[in-house]
Amino acid sequence: MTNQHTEAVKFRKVSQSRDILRRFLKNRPAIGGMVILCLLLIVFIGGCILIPEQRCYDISGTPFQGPSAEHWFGTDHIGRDVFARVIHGSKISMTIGIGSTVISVVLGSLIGAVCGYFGGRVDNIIMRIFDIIMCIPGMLLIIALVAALGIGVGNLLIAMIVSMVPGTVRFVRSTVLNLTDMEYIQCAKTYGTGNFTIIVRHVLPNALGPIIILMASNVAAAIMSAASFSFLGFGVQPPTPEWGAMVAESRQYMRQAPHLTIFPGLAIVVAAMSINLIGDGLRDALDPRLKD
Amino acid sequence: MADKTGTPLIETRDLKKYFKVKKGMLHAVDGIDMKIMPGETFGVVGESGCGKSTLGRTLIRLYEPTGGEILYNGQDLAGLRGAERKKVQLEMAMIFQDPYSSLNPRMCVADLIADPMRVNGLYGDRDSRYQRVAQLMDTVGLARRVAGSYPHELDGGRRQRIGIARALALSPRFIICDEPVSALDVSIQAQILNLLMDLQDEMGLTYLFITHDLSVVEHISKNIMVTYLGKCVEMGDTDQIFDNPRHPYTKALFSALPEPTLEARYKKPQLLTGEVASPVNPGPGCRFAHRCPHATDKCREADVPLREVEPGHLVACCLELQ
Repeated sequence: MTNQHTEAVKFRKVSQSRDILRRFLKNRPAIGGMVILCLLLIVFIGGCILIPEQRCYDISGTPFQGPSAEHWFGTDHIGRDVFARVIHGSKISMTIGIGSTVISVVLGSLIGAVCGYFGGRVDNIIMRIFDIIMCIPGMLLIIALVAALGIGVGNLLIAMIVSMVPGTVRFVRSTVLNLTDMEYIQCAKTYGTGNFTIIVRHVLPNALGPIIILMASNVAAAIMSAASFSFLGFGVQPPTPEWGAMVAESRQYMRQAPHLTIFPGLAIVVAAMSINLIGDGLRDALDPRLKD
Repeated sequence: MADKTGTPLIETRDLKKYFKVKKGMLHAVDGIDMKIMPGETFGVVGESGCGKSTLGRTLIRLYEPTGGEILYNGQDLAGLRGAERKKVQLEMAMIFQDPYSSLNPRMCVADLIADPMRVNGLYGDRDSRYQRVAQLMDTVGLARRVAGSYPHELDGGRRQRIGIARALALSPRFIICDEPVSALDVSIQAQILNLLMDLQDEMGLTYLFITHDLSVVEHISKNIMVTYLGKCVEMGDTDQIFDNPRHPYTKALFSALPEPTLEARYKKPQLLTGEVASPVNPGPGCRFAHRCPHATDKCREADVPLREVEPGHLVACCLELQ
C-alpha cells in the first residue's frame, strides 16, 4: 500500500514537467515564436555550414544590386553578398545578445535576491554602488569600459554585462521584497531552513515569471545595443559581418538601396520577436497558478 | 499557578519584544510571564495589534526577544547553541493564520509537507519521506490523491490541513497555532479545531493557541491569557475566566459575545469607547486606563502587577484591591 503510494507521488512529480510542457504547447503565440526561432536557427546554422565565410568578404559583385537568383538579398555598396553577411552575422549578433543577457540576468538575480531578502545594511551598500553605476549613461559606461579594456567582441560583451546588471538587480530586488513578507518564507524559517536554501527554493522560483520576461526583452535590447557599438567601432570591426553594423553601414544608402537595411533589420526584429514570444509563453507555463 | 506542578514545557519570564519604529520603540510584547504545561492548550486572546502573534513568533525564534527569558523544559533558550538549539527548534512548530500565503505556490502538496524533513535531512531518503508524507496526510484527513496538487487548487480547509501536516512533519511537542481558523468558514473552523484536539489526544501535543475568537478559545483551551497592548491583563483557567472575568477589559470582551438566549436580548452590552492607545512608547500605568470606565488616578501612576485573586486566577487591575 505504502509502496504503491510512493510510486503515485513520484508519478505526479514527473507529470509536473509534463504539465509545464503541455501548458506551453497550448500557448499559440509561444509556439509561433518557437517555430520562427527554430526556423531561424536552422537557416543560420545550415547557412553558416553551406555558405563559405569567404563569400562575406568577396567584393567581386556589382555594388547595389537588388535581390536576384545569384544574390538572394542583393549586394551592398562594395558588392558583397548581403545574404551571406546576414547568415554569418547571426553568429556574433546572437551570441552577444543571448550571452550578455543570460549572464547578466543570472548575476543580477542572485545579487538582487540577496539584497531584497536580507535588506538592511548589505542591501543599502550594494544598491548605492549600483545606483552609482546607473548614474553613468549606459552608452558612456560601455564606451569607457571598452576603451579601458581594449576594443574587441569579448570586451564589448563584458562591458554590456556590467551595464545590464544594475537594472536587473533593481528589478529582481523589488520582486523579491514583496515575497519576503509571505508567510511561507517565515514558516520555512521556523523549521530551520537556511537563508541560502530559502532564496533558492522559495524566493527565486516565485520571482521566476518576471525574470523570464525581463530576460526575453533584454535579448532584443542587447542585440540592438551590440549593433550600435559595432557601428561606433567599439565591438565588431569591419569587414566582419554583424547585423547592427550592417544596418549602420548601409543607412546612408537607404533611399537608393533599401534592401541593404531591410534584410539585416528584419533579422534583428524576427529574432527578437520570436524570443519575446517564447519568454511570454514560458512565464505562463511555469506558473502553476495559471493552470488552464 | 496553583494547579501547576512539575516542569512546564514552555515558560517565559518577563518576555519583551520591542520594535524600533520612527517615533520610538513599539512595545509589541511587554513583560509576559506564562507557563504552559505539557499536553495542555494555552489560549492567548486579545484584539488586533495587541502583540499576540509577536508573542508566538518570539517563542519560535522568528524574532529575537528584546528582554526576558524563554525556558523550554526548564532550559533557557538563549543559552543554547548549535545542536542543542537545533534539537529544541525541531520540537517546536507553527501553524500560520493565512492558509493562502503560508504555502509556497510552486510546491505540490507532498513536497510542502516533506520540506521540513528534507531541509533537516531527517526521515531518510526521498521515498521514505514520501511514505511519511502519506501517513501524515492520512492523519490530518487529506486524501492521498491531492499529493501532487498545488495549493491554489485546494480550498481553505484543505490548505490549512496541509499546514498542520507540515507542522507535524518533524513530530514536534509544542505547536504554536497563530489564529489557525480565523481565515476559514465557520463549518471548516469546527473541523480544523476538532482535528487539532484529536491530534493533541493522540500525540500529547502542547498548543499555544492564539486567537481573537472567544468562542474558539473557550472550546479548545484549558488556560487563557487575555492580553492588551502587549501586557497580560488576566490569566487563569478557562472556566474561571469565562464564569468570573475580573478585569474590566475582559468583562468588556465577554459582553461583546453574542449569547444565544432570549434574556440576552434585553441585556445592554458594555461597550468600550475610544481606540486602542498607541503601543509606541507607552507611558506608565495600566495600559487600559484611558478606555476603562472605572479608571482612577491610581491606575495611571504606575504599572499594575498581576495579582492572584483566587487560586490560579491572576488579574492586573487596581480596582480589585478594594
